[in-house]
Amino acid sequence: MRRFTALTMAAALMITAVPVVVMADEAEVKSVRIGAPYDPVTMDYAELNADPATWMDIMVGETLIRNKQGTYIGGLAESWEKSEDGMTWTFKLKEGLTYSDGETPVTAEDLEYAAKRLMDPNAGHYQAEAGYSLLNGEQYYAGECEWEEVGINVIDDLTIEYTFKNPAYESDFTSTTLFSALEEAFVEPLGTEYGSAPEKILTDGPFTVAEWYSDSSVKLVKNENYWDAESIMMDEINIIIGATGDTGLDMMLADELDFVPSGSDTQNQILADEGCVNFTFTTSYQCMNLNHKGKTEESGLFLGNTNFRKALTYAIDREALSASVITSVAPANRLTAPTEAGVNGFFNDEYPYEAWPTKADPEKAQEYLNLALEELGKTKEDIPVIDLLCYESQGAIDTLAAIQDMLKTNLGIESQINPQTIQVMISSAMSGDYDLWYGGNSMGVPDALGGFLSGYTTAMQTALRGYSNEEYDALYDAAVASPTLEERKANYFEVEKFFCDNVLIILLGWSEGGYNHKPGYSGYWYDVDIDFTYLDYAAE
Amino acid sequence: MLKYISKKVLIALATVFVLATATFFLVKLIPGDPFLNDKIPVAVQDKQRAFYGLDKPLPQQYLTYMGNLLKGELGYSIKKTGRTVVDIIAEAFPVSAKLGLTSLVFAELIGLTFGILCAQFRGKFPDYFLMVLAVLGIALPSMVLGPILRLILGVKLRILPVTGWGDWDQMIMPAIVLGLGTIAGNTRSMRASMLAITTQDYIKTARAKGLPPIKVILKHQFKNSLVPIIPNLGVQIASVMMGSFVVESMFLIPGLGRYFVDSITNLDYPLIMGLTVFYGVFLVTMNLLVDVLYGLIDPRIRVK
Repeated sequence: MRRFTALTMAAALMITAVPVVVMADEAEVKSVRIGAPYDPVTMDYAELNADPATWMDIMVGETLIRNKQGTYIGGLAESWEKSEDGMTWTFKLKEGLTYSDGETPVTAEDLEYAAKRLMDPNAGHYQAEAGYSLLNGEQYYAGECEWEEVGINVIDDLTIEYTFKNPAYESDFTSTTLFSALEEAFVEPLGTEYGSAPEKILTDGPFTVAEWYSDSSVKLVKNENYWDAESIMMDEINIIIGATGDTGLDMMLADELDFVPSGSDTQNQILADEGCVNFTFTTSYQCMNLNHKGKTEESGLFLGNTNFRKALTYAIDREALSASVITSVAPANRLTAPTEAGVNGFFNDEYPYEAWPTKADPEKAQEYLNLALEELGKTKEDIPVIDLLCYESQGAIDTLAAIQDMLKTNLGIESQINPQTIQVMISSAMSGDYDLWYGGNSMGVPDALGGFLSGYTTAMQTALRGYSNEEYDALYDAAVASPTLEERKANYFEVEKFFCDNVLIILLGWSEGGYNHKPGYSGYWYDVDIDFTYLDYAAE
Repeated sequence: MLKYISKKVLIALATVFVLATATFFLVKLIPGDPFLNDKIPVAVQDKQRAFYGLDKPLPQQYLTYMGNLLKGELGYSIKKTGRTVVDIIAEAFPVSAKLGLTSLVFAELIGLTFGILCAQFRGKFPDYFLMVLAVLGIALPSMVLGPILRLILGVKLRILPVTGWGDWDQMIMPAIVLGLGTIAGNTRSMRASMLAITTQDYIKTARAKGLPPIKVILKHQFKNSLVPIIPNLGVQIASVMMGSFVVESMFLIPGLGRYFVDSITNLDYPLIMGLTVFYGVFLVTMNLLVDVLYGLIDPRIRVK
């Protein structure tokens, strides 16, 4: 019996001793565990297409200009000059920059190589379109000109010049896709496998990828060779893939996680009761995309009419949708999201505007419908059943069921919900096989508003939207050709007003994402996406 | 015996060929296009299609696919950029296999024991109790049982980690959830099998000879009761080792299960085809081994 007791005590001691050792080690390493919905898939900047790669890239890579918590500072660049028209930018790189191996120097040639690789016409990189902003970029990709004619010019090892189709701004140079460096001798032998595993990544940013278990976890560790290493507070960032929803909640409660993406109101409340902090930011536009030509000629006749589209938008009660089916979406009364940057602050503060009410206005909706019927010489009975395309998730179907009811109640218009798998939905949308398509439009990129607006220009038209308008094109072209940021924003406002007056889409709201985290964390920052680069922790 | 095995191997090879061919053409029938994206210019989409050889005529695609298959090449995943299907399987399969085998061993031990107990206490409380448990095991879906276990053992009692992979204690909850259905099935099968031979002459003889009941059960009844159970083993091994979408997602286990679902929703053609063929080959191999094993245990099978 005494032997059994002694063995039991020894075993108990061993079990309790293990955590003590681990904790002693952990005390020296500042680390954090962050939940993320998906695997980053790749850290090749030319292929980024999944969360969390879209926010990890700026932690792993360095750009010419870095957005350091709202202030533009030199990243790779020591200084820069731009031409008066804002079309040509010359960057002088910092001296002594190296990749994370601490040896390989970062040069202007590396920036040119990264851009040339991105736009390789034979590679079909997912992000190749980013290069279209350069002078002759699109022509090079189409095989219509030589690389030497593209607007990138390496002047010397530390100096590079970019020439654009339209004026550029500081914010444009914060994207890793086009303005990061890649070491050719490292990347070329790996070919398409570059960026797919820790040993297949060589970067120059604040962190390096130390471990990556696909669909499981990613460990980032501080890059001691980073030029601004003293600003980086965390030694390790552990990203746990799939730690969201109920699983993420349980992990937070069991102290297996420090940051979890916001969940349902109930989940957020449970964590708030536990002392966790919640923050949210706008992540995407939630809208009913409109096929202006309609799924059929019959529906196209109505959807091509501005007053008919206005009738639809006034018939929808956005507040009711946000209160019931799309609870993480803030109801929209205009196109531009509240987090869109203006010149010195937020765009919506600088350019106040209300395009439509957030609550339904059945009287006005009916008024517009009557106007439309009069213009078209039709009666209400002539309106066909409207096809509502969506992804086959229950959330999307519930949202469309509510909209279906609003259209029926406020306008007497019949519609049918058409749920599809993701790829079939995209195929249907791209071929114009829908009337209204419920979906989102991500904002996690610089100049998200510009990107959104460009989709409705004639040059970007596919069967998807079926919209073309010369006046809109002229307004958009004037906006992107604005030589100063002030002028561009003012011109964007004009485009926005045209967009809303003509109801190019039925915007429902701005989707909000965010995180719940344990107390004591600071230094994270977000505008259109989260940035954990300067995260810090101090026990409260 | 060699003739028997050769015949089985030939049938297995033919099965894999039919499976690979059928998968190739069925995948092409799935509506949608993995490269369609309203944010990507058409020129870029076309080049992505060309990279995967999807711009070629279908017969040419088929011949390339079969040729690569013979060389053991399954191509690059469309959605897992820069990673080959072989890499993905090589990384995820051992995880699913380890979890699956653990749960299977656990399920076989418990299930067979429960089955024996049910048969011995037929019509009595232990029989009813264990059969209710077995029915519950079949009826209770893993998506219900998993979160309950996680909440009780992980969050409230904190005796097991909620999620993760790598440590032995991280395997306990997923193995229980994954194995419960098998336990239930085995309990029912073993009970029926044991009862079927209870009245056999050789069992009566063993008892008449005065052998202790435990010896009768273990030496005579148990071994012969396994004969109808063994044919299911091949399918059971293949299905648990290939991973479970629900269990792996719930406990954040980096196994193969999720790829079976994700590859289809993403229309990741190479991954769909690679996984199906891999599963098919594995299943056929397991069945082949079971057939051979079965033939060894019961020579009458070979004769037939």
